[in-house]
Amino acid sequence: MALTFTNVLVNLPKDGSLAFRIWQDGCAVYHVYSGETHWLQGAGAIVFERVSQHAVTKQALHQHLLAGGMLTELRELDTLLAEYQALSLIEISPMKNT
Amino acid sequence: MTLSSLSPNAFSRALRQQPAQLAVGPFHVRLYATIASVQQHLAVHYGAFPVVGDDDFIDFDIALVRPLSLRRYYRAQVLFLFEGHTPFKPLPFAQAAAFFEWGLNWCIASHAHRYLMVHAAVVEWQGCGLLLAGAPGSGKSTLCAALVGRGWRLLSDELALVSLDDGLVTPVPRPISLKNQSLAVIRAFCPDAVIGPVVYDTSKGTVGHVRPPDASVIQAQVPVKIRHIVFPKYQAGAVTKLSTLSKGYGLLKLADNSFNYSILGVHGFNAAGDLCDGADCHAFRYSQLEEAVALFAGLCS
Repeated sequence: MALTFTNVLVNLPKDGSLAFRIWQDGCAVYHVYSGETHWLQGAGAIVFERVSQHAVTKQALHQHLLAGGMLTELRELDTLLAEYQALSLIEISPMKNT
Repeated sequence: MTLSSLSPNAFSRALRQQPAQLAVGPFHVRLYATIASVQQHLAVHYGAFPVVGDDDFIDFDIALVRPLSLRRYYRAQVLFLFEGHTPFKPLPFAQAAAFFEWGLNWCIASHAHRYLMVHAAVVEWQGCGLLLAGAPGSGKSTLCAALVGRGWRLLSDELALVSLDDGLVTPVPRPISLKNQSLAVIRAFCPDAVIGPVVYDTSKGTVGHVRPPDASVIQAQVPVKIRHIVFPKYQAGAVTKLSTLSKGYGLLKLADNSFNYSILGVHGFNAAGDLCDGADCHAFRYSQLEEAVALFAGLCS
């Protein structure tokens, strides 16, 4: 039977490359290897805060954002996650469904 | 013992024969000051500074000397020596005293990486630390001089030294550098302020220094917790306005105004984060010093 990936798991990098502060109006994130400091607000801050607590599926993130009225389209979340992954702020791993 | 405990003659004679060794905040500075204008600068501004003994460790070994060339006499110049090396091109001889201040800024900013160093003035009123950060020309030194003139303690004019251990700011009270119109503004606002000889035609324009209050120099070992981080902007005719900034934006601006944020890496981020955690961040626009001083007095009372 072929493997298919219907969801992904979103997590912080496990290599300790991030330091961050979560404030009421956003998250400041420092990436140790790039030396870059990022200021995340809005949906991006909510995503990062959620992921910083524990690994979470993309679907759960989407539900969380919908509940907060932040994003409506799944593709918007895909774009955000791709951007954060490119910045090495998150890791995305496929979940196996058989 | 302080520099002022020497008589003027003994002071000048002593500096011709041996270097001055001073405790400037947490740093010990040895200065070979055989040039009269530098001696006068020390006499005016550094009288209350403690003298360091010969057995104490010296952080910065500095000399201001005439070059061994024709420029010793013809269109005379002055060299700044740090540990015997010349990190800068010579400047016109008339700028020797200012060169000492600028060179000492460089010494601290290039070496004191046990602190997060922010380009900021720091003052304190009744235990409330105010950090005024900004690029040159933002009006932070003018504001700093005005607050100090009204009784605030001076911790820093140029370099805020934020401890990586506890987030407190270590004082490094030194003469406040004023430029161009700020000199007349502070003379009018604080008639008692002691402003040393003014130097013209520097790369920064006309420059003068305000003597740090003796009380601030005496308290140079007492660090302060920052309660308010302010990014001031002087704007002619502007209405006094203090606006709240997010802590994250404050952190980014602190990083932008830091000399060694990127050198310190995650320690710099944590120090700036701690600073923002414990303080409110503001943007501040002003044109009237009286209103500015009253506003900050209210903020800290």
